[in-house]
Amino acid sequence: MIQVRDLVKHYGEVRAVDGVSFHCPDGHITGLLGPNGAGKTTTLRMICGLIRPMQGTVIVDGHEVGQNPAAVRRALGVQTDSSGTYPRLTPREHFKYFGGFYGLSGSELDARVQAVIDMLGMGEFADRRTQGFSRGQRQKVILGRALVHDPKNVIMDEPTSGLDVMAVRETRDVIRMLRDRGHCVLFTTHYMDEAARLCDRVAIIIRGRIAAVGSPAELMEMTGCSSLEDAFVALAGGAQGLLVSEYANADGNVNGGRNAGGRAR
Amino acid sequence: MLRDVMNIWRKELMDTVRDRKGMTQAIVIPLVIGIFYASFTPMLMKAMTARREKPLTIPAQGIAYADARLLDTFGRYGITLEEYEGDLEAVIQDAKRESGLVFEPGFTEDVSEERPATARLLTNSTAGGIFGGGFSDTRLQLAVGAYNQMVVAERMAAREVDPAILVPVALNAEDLATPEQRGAFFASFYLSILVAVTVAQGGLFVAIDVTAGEKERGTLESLLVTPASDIAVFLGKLGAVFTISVIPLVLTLTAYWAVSNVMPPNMAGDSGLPGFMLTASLLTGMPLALVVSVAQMMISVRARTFRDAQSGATPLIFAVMIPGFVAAFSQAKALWSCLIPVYGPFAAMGRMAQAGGLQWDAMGLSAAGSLIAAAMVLPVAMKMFTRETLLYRS
Repeated sequence: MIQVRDLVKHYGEVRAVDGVSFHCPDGHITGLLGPNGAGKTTTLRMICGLIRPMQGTVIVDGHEVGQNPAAVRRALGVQTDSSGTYPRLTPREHFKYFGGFYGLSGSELDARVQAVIDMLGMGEFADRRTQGFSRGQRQKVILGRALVHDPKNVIMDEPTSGLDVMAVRETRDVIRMLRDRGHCVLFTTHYMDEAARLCDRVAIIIRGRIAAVGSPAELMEMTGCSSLEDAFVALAGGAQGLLVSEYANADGNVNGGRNAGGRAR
Repeated sequence: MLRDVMNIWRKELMDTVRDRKGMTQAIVIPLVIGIFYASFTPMLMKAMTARREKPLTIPAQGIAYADARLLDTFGRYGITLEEYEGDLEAVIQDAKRESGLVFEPGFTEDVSEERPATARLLTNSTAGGIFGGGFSDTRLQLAVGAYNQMVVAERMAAREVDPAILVPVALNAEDLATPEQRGAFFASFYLSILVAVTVAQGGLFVAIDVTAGEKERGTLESLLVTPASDIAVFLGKLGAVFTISVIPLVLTLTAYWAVSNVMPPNMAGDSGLPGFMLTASLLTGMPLALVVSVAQMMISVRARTFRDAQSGATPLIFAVMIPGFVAAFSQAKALWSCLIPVYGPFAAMGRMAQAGGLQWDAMGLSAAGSLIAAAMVLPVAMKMFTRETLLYRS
């Protein structure tokens, strides 16, 4: 489980993240939605301990990131927003390299690497250097190295961005499979239909603040919109004109004390 | 932490070894330079010797006026005069011939009647490359000098004067340098330059690739979200940079040593690079490589892109190579100067070359200077690596 409480990060005059709170339960897919520059990636980086928050805390499976960043990272599998790979290494070598950081070695590491290769359907190109890989193949490498240690909590920064239809479907299947296996999944996306299909919970972030948190159905109901996209636009507009607290309380749940969907804690 | 450091070190080495461009820059080029330096001098000496011994035909005018014994002397020096009909000055000025001689009527009579006899030596120092006009000139001067000595000796004998009066002081020079000293001293000139070039260039490509290159590729963030600490990541990468710096150093110096002993420079003693100088160069070069690796990492970490890092590293290359060149050209190197970072290793090599053997005090000071410098730069570089503003600006 990932708990984010009152995170703040400013870059000079820019309030990149300004008091963000939400939580991601195990066995749920939580989507972090927001326009470009809303603070999604900065929030994810603070959760991973890459950036120190100026205020607030992140707790992953009971470990506070400021106190024990190594334990937090051990509990996380992170797919970053970049599609960068080491061009002279094969996917299998990528997974072995990254698995080594999580205490895996020998036959245990080999077994985990093979399991990831099978899970992501990478058998045909697992032993080819990644130089010249398609975007979809590279994305699988990045996803695989995030999953090689079988983390309880998985963070994905725009995992389907730039992928073709087949690759998008495969990625979404993996996300669902992780949820079904009881993992806590937190991902960011620009695609509202994707969020509506996949997410059990959605946190909408606008200008560094959480505008609303809830299930897609709850957000639509709350805004009176028939689609998540319309609800998002309404919330974004609301955030520009109204106070953020109109829609979200400090715990990151929808105002009025309603529980954030059936799968929420 | 050690496990993470080793994991990163192994991966970076494997990645680098598979990179043909990087390997060429890191290893092949310094190796070629080492072999070139080692073989250049012997080849130059051989070419000069061959040129000195090769028959030389000089175009001349008025050969009939020349003293027959002068022509004989030329013959003993491998010089043949060939009568030239035409504008001799023009062909030499046009660099079509390297040099020529012109004898005026009365030359032989002047010699026999003990009047100064003059011949014109025409040369063009630009003709025939570095072994051209100037070289022919030297050979002719040597032959004429020998002829003059012979004639003077005859004239003094005719006057019953001992020719020894012309030599009031005889200086018998004896070179007491051992063959090892001569070989080491000669080689140390190139060694300083070789070590400087190898250390400055060896790990640079790798340092850039594992820092700015990773940032540019977008792989650095994935690495930093692993449980490996930033310090472990930095040290693993630094270890790879240092290793890749040392490999070309060892290969290049060993190649230089081997080639210089197969093809020794044609000097007194005919000695190539003595084994102790190979040891000395490696033991002083490796700590220097560590300092330079840390500095290369520091510069590369600051850079946003590979190209940025390359530009930023250029002053560092000069900062290493200039002390190497200064040491190569300077003579006296005080013991304390071995402690000066970057310059010290070169000073230590120079001292050992002059001494003709290993000097542990010089090597110790040199290593201490390098390690102190590395210890001072390392925390700064690590701090830069862990600063989020530097890591994520792009």
